[in-house]
Amino acid sequence: MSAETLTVAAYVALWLVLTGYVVLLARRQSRLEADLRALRASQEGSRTPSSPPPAPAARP
Amino acid sequence: MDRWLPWLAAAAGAAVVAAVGLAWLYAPVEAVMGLSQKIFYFHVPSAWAMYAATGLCGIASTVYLVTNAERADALAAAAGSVALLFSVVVLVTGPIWARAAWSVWWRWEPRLTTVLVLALLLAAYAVLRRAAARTPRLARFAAALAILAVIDLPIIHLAVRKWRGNHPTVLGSGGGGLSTEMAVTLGVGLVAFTTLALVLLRLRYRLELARRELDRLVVAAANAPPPETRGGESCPPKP
Repeated sequence: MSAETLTVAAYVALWLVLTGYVVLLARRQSRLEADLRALRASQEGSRTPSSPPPAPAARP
Repeated sequence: MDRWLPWLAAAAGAAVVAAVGLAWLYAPVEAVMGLSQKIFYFHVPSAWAMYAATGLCGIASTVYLVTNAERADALAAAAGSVALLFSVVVLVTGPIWARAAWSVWWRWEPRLTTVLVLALLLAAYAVLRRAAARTPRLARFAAALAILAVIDLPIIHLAVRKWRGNHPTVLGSGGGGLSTEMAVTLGVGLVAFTTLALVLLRLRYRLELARRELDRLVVAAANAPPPETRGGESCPPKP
């Protein structure tokens, strides 16, 4: 492989690794927000006397 | 800090783009290594970010072991994650450069081996941290492992000088020989990657605190008495 190809490959690898990490953080963030919403919904539900209290959000 | 985070993130993004632009358009092609030398403009800043994040992880872990402060543990977890990220960048881009310069992907020479050891320690730390989310006492073992990783830092730094490895010395006495354009490009790269590491660290730290808070809320919700007995005096709360 030529030096040009390897240099471009290194830059592409950099972007892939950094982007992958940011995507991972974003996915964790959205999962946390979803868990929080589910927890709030379950707490709201448990305050309503007519409806049975749903189980709290299970953490993976 | 969170108010400034979007601005800091924008500055980090712009600085990284500027560093890449300078590396390709401003810095001259090195006479001996040729184009592949341009890998150094982010390989070295990534290594610096890895050092800094590992050091921070070790300091926060020490604080956690001494004071048992949960925020210190969360900061250590965030710094360990960022350190692992940059160690991956170093270990991916280093061999690509080695293939161009040495015609081999890997050499078991001191600096490469000690960086690999650090990356493995950080990976083990990440695994232990994941387990510590369910078994909190493992956080102390993770903290001890982080301190062990910090001990590897001076060994990596001195590896080239003490054991005469093949890895080039870019910064410090006895190495470098960078032209002004190269030094400016490397300086911008160092600032860019430091800013980027700070942004990622802050995001990861915030995420870690939010996860712990959510875990606490889930446990509190699970332990809460049923609604019909809530506030009532007929049924005493569970011990």
